Amino acid sequence: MITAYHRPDTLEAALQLLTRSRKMAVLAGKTITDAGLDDSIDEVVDLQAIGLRQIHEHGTQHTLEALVTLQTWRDHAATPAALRDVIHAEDSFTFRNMRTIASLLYVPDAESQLVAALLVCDAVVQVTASTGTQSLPLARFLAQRVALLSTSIPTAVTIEVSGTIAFANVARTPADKPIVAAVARKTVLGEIRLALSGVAPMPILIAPNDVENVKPAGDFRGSSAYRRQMAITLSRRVLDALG
Amino acid sequence: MQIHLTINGINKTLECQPYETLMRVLRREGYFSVRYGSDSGETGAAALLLDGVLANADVMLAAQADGHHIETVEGLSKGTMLHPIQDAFVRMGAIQSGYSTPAMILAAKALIEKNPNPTEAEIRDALSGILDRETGYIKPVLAVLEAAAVMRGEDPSEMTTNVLTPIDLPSRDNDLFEGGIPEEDRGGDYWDMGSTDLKVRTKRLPRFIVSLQVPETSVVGKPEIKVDALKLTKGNPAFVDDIEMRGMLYAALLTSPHAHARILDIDDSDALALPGVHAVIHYKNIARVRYASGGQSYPNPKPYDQVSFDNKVRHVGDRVAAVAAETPEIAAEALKRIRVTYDILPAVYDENEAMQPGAPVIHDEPDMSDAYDAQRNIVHHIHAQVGNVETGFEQARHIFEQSFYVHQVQQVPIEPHICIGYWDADERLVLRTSTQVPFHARRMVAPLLGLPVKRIRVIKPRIGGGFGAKQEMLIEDIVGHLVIATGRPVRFELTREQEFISSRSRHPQTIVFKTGLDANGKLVSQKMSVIGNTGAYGTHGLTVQTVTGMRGLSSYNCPNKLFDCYVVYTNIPTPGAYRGYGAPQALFALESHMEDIAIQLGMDVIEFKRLNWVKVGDPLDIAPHLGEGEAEITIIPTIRSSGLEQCVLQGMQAIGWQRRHDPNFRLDPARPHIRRGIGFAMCMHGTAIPGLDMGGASIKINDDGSFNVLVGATDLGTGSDTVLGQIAAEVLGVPLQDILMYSSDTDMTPFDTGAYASSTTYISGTAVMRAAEQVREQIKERAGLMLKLNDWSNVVLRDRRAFAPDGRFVSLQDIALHSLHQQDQRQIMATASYVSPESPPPFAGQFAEVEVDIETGQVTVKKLVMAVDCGVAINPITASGQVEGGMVQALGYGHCEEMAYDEHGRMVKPELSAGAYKIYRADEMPELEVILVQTMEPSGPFGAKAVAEIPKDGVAPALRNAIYNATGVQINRIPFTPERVFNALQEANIS
Repeated sequence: MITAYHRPDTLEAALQLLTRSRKMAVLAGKTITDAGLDDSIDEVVDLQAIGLRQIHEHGTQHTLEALVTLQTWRDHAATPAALRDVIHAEDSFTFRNMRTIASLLYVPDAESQLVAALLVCDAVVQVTASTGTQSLPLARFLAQRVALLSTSIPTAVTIEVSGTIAFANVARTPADKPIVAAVARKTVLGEIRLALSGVAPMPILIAPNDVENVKPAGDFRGSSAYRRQMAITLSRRVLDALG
Repeated sequence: MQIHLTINGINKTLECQPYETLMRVLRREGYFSVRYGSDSGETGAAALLLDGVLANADVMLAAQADGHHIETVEGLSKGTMLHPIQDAFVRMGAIQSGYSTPAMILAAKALIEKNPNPTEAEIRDALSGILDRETGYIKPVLAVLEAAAVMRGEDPSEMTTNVLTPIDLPSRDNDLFEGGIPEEDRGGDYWDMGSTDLKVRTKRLPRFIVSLQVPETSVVGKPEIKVDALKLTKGNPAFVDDIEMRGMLYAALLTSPHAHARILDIDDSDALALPGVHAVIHYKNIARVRYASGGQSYPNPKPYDQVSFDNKVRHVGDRVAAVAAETPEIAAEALKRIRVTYDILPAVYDENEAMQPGAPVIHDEPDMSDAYDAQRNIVHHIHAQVGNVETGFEQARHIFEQSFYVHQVQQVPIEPHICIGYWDADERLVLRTSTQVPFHARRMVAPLLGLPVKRIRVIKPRIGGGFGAKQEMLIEDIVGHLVIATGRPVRFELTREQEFISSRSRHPQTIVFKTGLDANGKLVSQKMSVIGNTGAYGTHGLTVQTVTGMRGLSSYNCPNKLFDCYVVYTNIPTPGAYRGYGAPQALFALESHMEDIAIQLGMDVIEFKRLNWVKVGDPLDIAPHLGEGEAEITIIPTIRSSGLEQCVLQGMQAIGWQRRHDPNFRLDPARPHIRRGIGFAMCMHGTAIPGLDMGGASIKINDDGSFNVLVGATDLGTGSDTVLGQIAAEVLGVPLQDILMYSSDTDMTPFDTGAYASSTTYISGTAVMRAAEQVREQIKERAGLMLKLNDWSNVVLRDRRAFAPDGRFVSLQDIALHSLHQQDQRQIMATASYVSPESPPPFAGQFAEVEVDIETGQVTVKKLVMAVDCGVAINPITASGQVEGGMVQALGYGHCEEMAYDEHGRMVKPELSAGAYKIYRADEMPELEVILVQTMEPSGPFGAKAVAEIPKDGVAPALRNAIYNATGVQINRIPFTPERVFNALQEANIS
């Protein structure tokens, strides 16, 4: 049960609180469902007062500060149309208002099409600890997420928006979470980035030739074999769409 | 801790705990429009505006809102003056139960303030986080469009019906609408949607086919505003939980983690030792009284296989113990401290396996005596026959046999089950509860609590949807036990997870149809075999399956029919009543089977069905053998009204039926993996349970000529209070505004069986009509006295006056004052009740258009059309709202909703989040179209039949037949999820 609520004014103060107790959770958006609250948590640090709500454009690189809401990102004039569609599909309007870039990182979803999109946009996560700031590719962040988040706070994600993005998915209904999704980006140099969701514990970057080798876990919406077949089909579609 | 909020423009400093949600704190402060739907925000019922932005208060800490501006719907209106958005929701008929209406209104406000001229797509996106189980989102979208228009300065629209011309039967259906349907003939009145990026068009008005047989009326048949609309749109405290009780305790329920286990011991000492815990109840301290929990008439159908708390659990989510404590947190902690020793037993989940020798015996308790064969887990064996099917099969030219499977789904009312109990000043137990059956609940709970019925009062306030889940005495006994144990008021609400696993759901069934036909395609013999899975307990198990038999073997004429059914216990959470009540299962199998027969015979599907479907004058000969009551009905009912032919013709036109064989429609050159198809299902339902359902009504006049109408009927949000008020107003010659409705309070209103079986308009409506007719006679007599008439029989009531044949009149107010105060004083009042000997069927044609991705199996539903004959729609707006909402629930049944389990019988993801139990959102809806085809049912009040349940019947088979039309693949199991369809396509080598 939560017995203490903290709203620090600065990132430094937030980091101090975070490292003070292992029973501390971070509220990086408006919803507590993204904070990983469980019986072991008894304090929360709410980041709402520390700022981090800007989107910065540096040519084709966009830096999304951690507390930018999904809806703000979607509505941002420079967000590419395909990415805007993926953001839109990620959540209902209400939750897009409440969830932030950091929300995606605190409780990443195996079936998040948006996290897959971040992967193909070469997302780099900036994480700040009391010892300093480091930047690491999203895939590496996801692999080390638990350890990183125990002592540091993600402050921004930088993505590359040049090139062309295509996505395809299969879901029970148009707005349902995809069972499997494929997102691909063709860079201005003609390189292909392909990411899949729904085939591994986290969305993954994958080489097109490796798609046949995925070994997803199944659930009631899609067996392992089905998810694998969909990974192949949807990858082909997005790659075909990119030409 | 203290937080500082600005709520609706007023600065407030509030005390709260760090763990408390914003919803909880606001409700404690009296902002009851912020409502619970789940713990994870998906329902959106707790939405409000935080600094002008839509946010869910149930997933925010109150502390997070410190320093922010909050708007709730309580702040929108000034006195009786509604905000234009509230006004639009009222006028457009956008409110059913109203539970989530405040959230929708706030979503609209935020949108319109940012964008005064939103497109339909933008509106649907704004509403996408607010789940609506009732309206199909159509009328809320219309209301937002209307509100935006009014706020831009345009004149308010008038909500009327859109009358269409009947279509004549063509000589051949396939010639119908040759060359497509001109837009001007489609009869719709569409909003200009601006952006069409959702490719959805929302009809402004319900389409309506008028029957010349129906006499002109003043109030009945008109789109009157709901009588409860004002309080619902303002978020007034109208629901069970919208009440403050001093000293109220919070109950919590410990449920079984095992599918099948014996409880060897319960140790509650640690829980009781926790400060703030007032009671822990379980099998060791609660009397063992056997009962059946289904809210049905006395005597409840067997088996009586439940007790409040047992020493055995039979499904994950089954009751183990309950606590009452000072706070929800203490109650939750107490549950953790109850030590239960289980002996885990083997479990069985499949109804076919449960009947096999060696299967675990689920009801092996020594006092179990009601089952047909408890050792084989068979609760009931139902056998009903007309003619002789074996002889019929011998005479048949063609015989077809097919097997179908229908699955388990949940009703998902956005308001979960909730009950607040307390002792009143006379030390009678009051249960304020979210129920469809207040009178049944009172009668049924009394023996469990050891109280006489007269010491219990059940009040049903407004409730946030039921759909059958609340046709049950489900939690009232727990609350009653805890009130008795503590002497304090007790509040108990199911969590969303418990609503899935500890409430009720729809029965899964395995269905086999065998049909024999003569050389002309006429049915000569039909056998329907069903194995119904009633889960851990038999509540509604008998009657749901009998309705399956009734609906499966009534829609088509056939001289030889046999229904053979086993109702079987398993270890899944218990099914029960769910809107449609056995009919959706039957109609999925029947309408799929009939489609396939037609195609195999080379006949046009609709011609084949028309050849066989029941028509006016045809007998419903299986009905006497499949009644709910103890006594068999000996009279064979006949069809006295049917608009089915017109429903089908209208539906064919609206869906563009002629396209189903057009390659230009079925294939998409730009998307070669897409196939398109159109499907049809004929639907026929019932109206109330004949000889059993009874409703009462009492009407009295007030000093000003208005009337109190007291009914036991239960308005779930369906608009029944409005419809019953319209009936009274029509008879009494007053506007609906002069009718003051009060319903569902066992102390104050006459008896009514409750809201189920599509009975309220027909049964309770007839009771109201009869009571009103008696009151009318008393008014006429009084008018005769006042006007000094020798014969008052020709006095006519209209426009709040009683007119003599010579044109003189006296107002109803003067009549009331005269009668109450001046001469030969008496209260003008009457009471009447009604039970019907028959159950006139409503009919419908359900059509669906789909796209199938043959590489993934994904089915995208593009359009649903339902043309319904519900007799005379007493209120076409509420009636069309029922159809729209019902169709969307039915869409979920056929397409995406599914209670899935792991190998231990645990439901996978018992929640409403994306990727879990999937309910359609506003922003992903297919186009919906409703056409009301009016007929005059002679037995119904003003010609009415039922409308509430028939929308549940036809979508699944129409989808199935559309997929068949699109791909050539027959899939005999629902839901049509991508992998299921993909596998079927693979088996057919289609990809």
